[in-house]
Amino acid sequence: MYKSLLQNFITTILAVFSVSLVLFILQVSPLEIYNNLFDGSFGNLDKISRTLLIATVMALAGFALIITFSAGLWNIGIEGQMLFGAIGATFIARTILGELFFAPVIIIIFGGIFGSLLGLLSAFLKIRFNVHEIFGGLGINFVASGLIVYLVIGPWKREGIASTGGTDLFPAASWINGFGESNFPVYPIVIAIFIFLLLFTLLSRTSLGLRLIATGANTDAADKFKIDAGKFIIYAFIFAGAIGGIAGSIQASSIHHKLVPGIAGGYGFLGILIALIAGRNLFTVVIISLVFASIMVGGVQLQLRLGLDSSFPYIIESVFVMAWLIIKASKVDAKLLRFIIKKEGNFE
Amino acid sequence: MKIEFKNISKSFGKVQANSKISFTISTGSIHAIIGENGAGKSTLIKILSGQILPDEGSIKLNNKKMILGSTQEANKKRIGILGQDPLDFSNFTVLESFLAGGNKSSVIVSKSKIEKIISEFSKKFDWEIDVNSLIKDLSVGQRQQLELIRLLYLGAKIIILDEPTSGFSLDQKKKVFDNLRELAAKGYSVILVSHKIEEILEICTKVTILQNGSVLQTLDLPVDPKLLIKKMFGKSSEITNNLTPSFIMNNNNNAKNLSLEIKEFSSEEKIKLAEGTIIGVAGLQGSGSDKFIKSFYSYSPQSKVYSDEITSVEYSNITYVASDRLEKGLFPDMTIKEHIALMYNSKSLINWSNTLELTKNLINTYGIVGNPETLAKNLSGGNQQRLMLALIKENTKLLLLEQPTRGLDIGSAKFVWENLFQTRSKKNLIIFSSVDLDEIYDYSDYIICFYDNKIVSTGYKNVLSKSIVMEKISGN
Amino acid sequence: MSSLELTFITIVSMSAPLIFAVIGETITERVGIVNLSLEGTLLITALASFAVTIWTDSLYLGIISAGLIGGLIAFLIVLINFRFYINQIAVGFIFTIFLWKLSSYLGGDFVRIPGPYLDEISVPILKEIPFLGPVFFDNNILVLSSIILIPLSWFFLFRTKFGVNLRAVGENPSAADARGLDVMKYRFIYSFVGGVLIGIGGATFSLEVKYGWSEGHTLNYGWIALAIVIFGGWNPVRGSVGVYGFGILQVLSLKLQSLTIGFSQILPLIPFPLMILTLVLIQSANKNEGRWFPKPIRLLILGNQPQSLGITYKKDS
Repeated sequence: MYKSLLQNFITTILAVFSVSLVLFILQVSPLEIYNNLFDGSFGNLDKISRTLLIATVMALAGFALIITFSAGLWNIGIEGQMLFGAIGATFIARTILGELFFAPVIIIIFGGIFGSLLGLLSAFLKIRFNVHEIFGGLGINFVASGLIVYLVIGPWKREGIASTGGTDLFPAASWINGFGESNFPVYPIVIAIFIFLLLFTLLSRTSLGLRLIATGANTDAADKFKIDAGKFIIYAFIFAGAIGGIAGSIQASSIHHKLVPGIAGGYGFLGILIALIAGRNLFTVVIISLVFASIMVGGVQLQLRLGLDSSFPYIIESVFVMAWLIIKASKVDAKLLRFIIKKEGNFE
Repeated sequence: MKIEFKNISKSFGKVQANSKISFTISTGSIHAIIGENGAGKSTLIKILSGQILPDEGSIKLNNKKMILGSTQEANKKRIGILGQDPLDFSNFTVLESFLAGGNKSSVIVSKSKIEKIISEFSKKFDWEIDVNSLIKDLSVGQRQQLELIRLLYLGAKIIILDEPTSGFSLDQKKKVFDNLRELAAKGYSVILVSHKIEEILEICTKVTILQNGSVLQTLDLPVDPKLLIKKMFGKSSEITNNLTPSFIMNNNNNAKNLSLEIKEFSSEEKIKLAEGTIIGVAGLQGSGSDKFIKSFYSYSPQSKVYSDEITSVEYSNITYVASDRLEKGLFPDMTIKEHIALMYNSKSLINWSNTLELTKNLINTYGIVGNPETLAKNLSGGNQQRLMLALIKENTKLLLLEQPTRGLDIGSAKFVWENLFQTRSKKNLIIFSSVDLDEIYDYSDYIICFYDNKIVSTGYKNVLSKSIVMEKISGN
Repeated sequence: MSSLELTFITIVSMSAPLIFAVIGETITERVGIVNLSLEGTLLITALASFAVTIWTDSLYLGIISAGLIGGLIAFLIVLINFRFYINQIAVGFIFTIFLWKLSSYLGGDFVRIPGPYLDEISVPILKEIPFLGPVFFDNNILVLSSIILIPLSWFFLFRTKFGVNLRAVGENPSAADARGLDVMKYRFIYSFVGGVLIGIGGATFSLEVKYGWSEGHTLNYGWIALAIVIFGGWNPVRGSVGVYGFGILQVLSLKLQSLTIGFSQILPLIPFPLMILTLVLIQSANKNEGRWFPKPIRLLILGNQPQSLGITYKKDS
């Protein structure tokens, strides 16, 4: 435990070093960047609230991907599942249900249902027609985003104006608000914690979760254990789609308060990066989501103070993930750890 | 071309596949390499053809050392290999597959020229190959024929045939052999790896017998076929009489009758047996014995075991233990405890403390060296097999074992069988395959012999003698 | 010049970048490698070609540098996959995000600079052919090369020794190795070649289709190209038919824009459901259930994915 923590710490330092090197090559000062990122994301309560909200959405996307990664699947369709969740949320907000005082609950549930339907489509294409989930998911993402454009300029357009700027705002009852007067995203955080606990239980305590992992670990062996791989692939996609859909509905009803094209904000794709690092570890997802969210939110400050492009957060994040994977694969961190432990041993 | 193997050694993990192999194949000879499964034949062949780099040793061709571990070098030295499973490209047309990798063709593919070449060779051997069909639509035999044509066309000077002739009819075989003799006379070297003694005696001039990865002997042919069989099967050919007393013969009286439905593999549709029988399926590698074992394991299986006239053993009561333990039977990155939970936990919530207790018990009972948190991939082969045994559920009626002691040392193998014998009375039937005749004779009651994907002989072991089984599974 | 001619000239020249990208990716995938970074590679090479052209005042240097960068990216993906066994999809995905965002950072200084563009060249005799002449042979060098590339790449892949060997490596690397082909060498070389073509595709975009640079200049073209490669059944000719079909749709949408608002936004998405449909059809046609397709249609939709596509190659021993 202590050893693997230390090893991950070494990996993190090396990866941050790689990021700094790239920043240096791009002729910006890494220190100034990190400083501004921290200040921009944790500088005051408002910034912290924003960071936490984004982190929640990212963590949900990461959780969704952990489920599918566990089952050995590349759920590139996560973006589309989030988009569909947002569509589900908007659908409810536009009906009479959206006026009810518990509208946000219905919105979240419908977001989950819509997302899981899209997950199911990926699973269906994979199992029935052997369409790889990467290409199926990629296609579905674009179809989903096309559907949103269609809805926004078609049936759900604003009174009189058809623009891609989005639908009308949700009725106030359908908003997921912050805590009291602040923006502190207490409800999204509660949802994320609930899903965290649910997944933690699922993966570590239930037979269903263990079989899901077994399916991903070795399909041939799963057959000998009488585990029907197809069934668990479907489960994985339904779970992942539902969690992605919930993330999308939070985007719609807590951040934008309406449906806009590209509402997933690329967080689904960032979720893939997060899951690449986290493997099957839910805690790591939470930590990396926090870090990535602070980079995203702090990135706004980079734009304002340093005049840097809004693309900077993504550059930092992608370099970090690539570096992390290469360091792990080349076992540089393990070698360094052994070296350090040996050194310590000599001192004692 | 003269080929000298000198001190070739190669090990895979703990398994010594080749150890200090030295012998010479002289120019213009047709040289046979024989040996039991696991004797090291295919490793040696793969070393000669550059697919595997040996740990030590050298190969000289006409007194010149060749670079090892490079298929490019082997191709340059005109070494051509025709394998059991032809190395070709299933989605390609015959023409394309024929061309791939060849260094003789022109840059721009000339379809008519290649067509002419293939049809000329085909005529010579009486073969029919449609140049425009896809490789995946050809039979294995046709694919081998095409490969042979390709090797001859490319001008291979050393031709390795690794168990190739199952795809040829008798008549075609004769023509191929005639051609090989002709080539040998021109100074080519032909290496034939085969189990078919008859074939070897017919065309080979010399034979090298491998045993446990080393050279047992190189003999000039012809010799007495019985002697060759005896040498090939090594120790197992010595007829032993101290067989384990057969369960069936002692308890036959009140045992229920079962029947096996095996349409796919035999003209006889059913075999009737007593409950509790252990069936040993004998056959050399690639004989179909493993396929036979697998054919029982599915929701809708090809082969079935009926416990009476109508009811067959249900899928949920069948356990199948694969020979590729880590690849097909276990989850390399999961712990022993997780394996136990997967197999024994029937509730939706897992009680890990109970599972831990059970795991500890099973680890003790089966003597697994490891703790509940050990990953399956970190267990030794013997311990992986012990874990597999621990994972056989009580309610198993039909136990299918694919080469249950493959790669195990004697101690582990003995443990496996002691354990299986203890539980046999609770099972309806145990079916196992093995390439080791000793194992078949020591532990089975009933023997099924496999050759070329078909059952060639069956019988209780007191009826079927070891020498007959040996001949049957060698295709004689 | 008739308006129909003009329309087709637009389609052919607009499609040129996608032709390069689709054929580049087809070659890459035929040798068994998935270069998923297309979206990012197209963006960064579109920017690079434009920037180099402005710095050096040479269009050709711009094109060459874009090609080299495209090849280098592909080479890196194969290298990381081969050296560290990190999944090609993962590496390609990370590269996509990195290059995409890098292009918008580095491109900041180049936004809205009026761009240089290529002069028209025409093929002497061929351009006299009615209709086909002006559409295909009276154009600039990149468009002309994109047209020539279609039959050329097809011929290379299916009618030359090198093409057969390349595809053999992508189908069954161990069999290819046994026949003396150096699998990794083939993968490195042809991924590089494919990457160069993709890079030239990026250059074509900023030097020929949409002069200059803007953020997200080639947005979604990379993903579209990936979809069309599958639609084309890993065949350059069929893929190009897909590209031109897409071009026709695009031109149509420009004409219809005034009639149906938003059609132009949904239009770029059409290749994706088609891609899924193609995959479904390919899989069904390969299976028994596909037998009900009439034979000509079966032959048309049959397209075999290279068997070792995306699978990390390890030589046993």
